[in-house]
Amino acid sequence: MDSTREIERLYQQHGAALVLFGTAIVGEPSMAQDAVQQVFLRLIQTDSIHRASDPIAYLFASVRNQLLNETRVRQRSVSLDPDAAWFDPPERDYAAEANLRRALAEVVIDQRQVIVLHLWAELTFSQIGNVLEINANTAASRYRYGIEMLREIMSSREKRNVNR
Amino acid sequence: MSIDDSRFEDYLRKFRPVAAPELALEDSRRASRNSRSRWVWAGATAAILIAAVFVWHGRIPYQIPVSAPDAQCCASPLTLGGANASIFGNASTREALDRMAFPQPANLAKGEQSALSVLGQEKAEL
Repeated sequence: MDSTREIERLYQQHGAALVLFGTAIVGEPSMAQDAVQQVFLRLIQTDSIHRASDPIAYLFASVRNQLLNETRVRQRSVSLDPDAAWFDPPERDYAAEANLRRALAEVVIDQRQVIVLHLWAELTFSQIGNVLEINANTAASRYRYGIEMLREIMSSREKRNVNR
Repeated sequence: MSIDDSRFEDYLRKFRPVAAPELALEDSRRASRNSRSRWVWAGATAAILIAAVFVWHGRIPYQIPVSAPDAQCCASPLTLGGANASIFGNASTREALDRMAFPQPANLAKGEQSALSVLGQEKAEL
């Protein structure tokens, strides 16, 4: 029972970031939500979270594996759902949210995953390395390149919107 | 990392991920309850079956057929000392081995033969 409460607490703390991370992989928030739910239900049934040395990194890795398996099974390409919001924007600036979401979708998936994990899931590069099975330095460098790319895409989009 | 980068990061952090929907725990609890009750039922059924087998065996006492002649002949077990004495006491080793393999019932009257010895004398015709 206590472990169920602990898992519920983990869901409350990291559920939103996990769904965002899943969405960054597959492009569809609904599919990411399903994957996160399945991971948590499995955790409750198997109680495997206690075997993980880093439970938070384990959660993100589980969601990633779940989604990669599902997309492999469905054998389809991932596309961005244009209507589903990924973020709650500051000051209800939904145009800015759409701009960020579309810009993120244009960033290479490896860099996009690292950006989401570092900025919104607040994982260290070492934890990100564990989740993505890469070196921490590789994660840091992917982050730097990804942020640079994201800023370029967003500023070029803003310029285009101003010129219109 | 430049100041611009950190400002850009601060700007991005203002966007919060959309809240995740409620965790559908009820389904998992129901599934776990169902699987637990399935195990309980399986255990109870197995216990009843085992108990039934014990009761059935208890009703039929195991009977040793003491009246059979072979049971009497095999009453004295073959020991190393007995085998040694039998080999030295008989004229040939083969005869001694035959006696050990097919011991004669002790309570046969004179002139009587055991079924085993009669069968041994018959010539099988194929």
